[in-house]
Amino acid sequence: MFDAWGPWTWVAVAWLQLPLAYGAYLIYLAWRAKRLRAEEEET
Amino acid sequence: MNPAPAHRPTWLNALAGVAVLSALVGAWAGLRLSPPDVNQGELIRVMYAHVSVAWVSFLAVAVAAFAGIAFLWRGTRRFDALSVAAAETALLFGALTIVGGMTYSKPTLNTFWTWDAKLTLTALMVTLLAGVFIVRGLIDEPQRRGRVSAVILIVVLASLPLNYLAAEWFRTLHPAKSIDLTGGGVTMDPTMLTVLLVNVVAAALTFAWLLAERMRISLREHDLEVRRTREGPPAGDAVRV
Repeated sequence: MFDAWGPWTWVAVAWLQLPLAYGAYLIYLAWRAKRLRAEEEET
Repeated sequence: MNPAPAHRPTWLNALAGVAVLSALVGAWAGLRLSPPDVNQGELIRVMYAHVSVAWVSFLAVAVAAFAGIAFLWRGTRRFDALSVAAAETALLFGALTIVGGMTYSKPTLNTFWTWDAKLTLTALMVTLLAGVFIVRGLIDEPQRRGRVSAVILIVVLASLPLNYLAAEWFRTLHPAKSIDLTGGGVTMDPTMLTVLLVNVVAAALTFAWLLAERMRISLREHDLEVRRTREGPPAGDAVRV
């Protein structure tokens, strides 16, 4: 499968990892902040 | 200690904007400005994404470990909050280093992975960083929790010089350094060096942004924990067996 990938495909995959990872982490932090807000309101 | 602000400070929005802008400039430089490499051709563009993130993973570990040392020294919970926030971002950047390295390694060296010293030490770094959160989840007492995770982070910090020098000291598929901080100088085209440094700055600013976002949550969690400790456990918890 990977043998058919050209150089620009590898370049695109390498660079797309960054926004995907940062975006996923920010979504996780937003979820955590929301959960924390709910706990703060309970206390 | 002042309570963590619930509203979003202006400086954090500004930092996020600067980080996103610098990342876009870095991507443009890596994908358009950099010339192709004489040996690797267009694949050299993978290097800018991989190396910048790898360097910042080291920076994140250093911040986490030094905040851990400050916590061991002073016992201030704010240092523990900083340490855990930096450790989590270090885990993110460490995982990205490994995945990005595999993406770079397959087309250039024809393998995703090999258990040589450099790669194994990086995998160990990520495993220990994940271990920090597993261990923290097992300890309820905040001071002890902070002390144990600080010690693990100091061990990770101690492995970084060995990781940095592993490509020279051991047989490895990982390329030797083009920027040698131990006196070997720079063996890289000036344009490529500039593009790499732009991407390192962009990754460092992104780290600072994510660290600040995570730190806000850490401080609020700390405030909540203090409030709960003062108020005592809920009635249902008192009879838990």
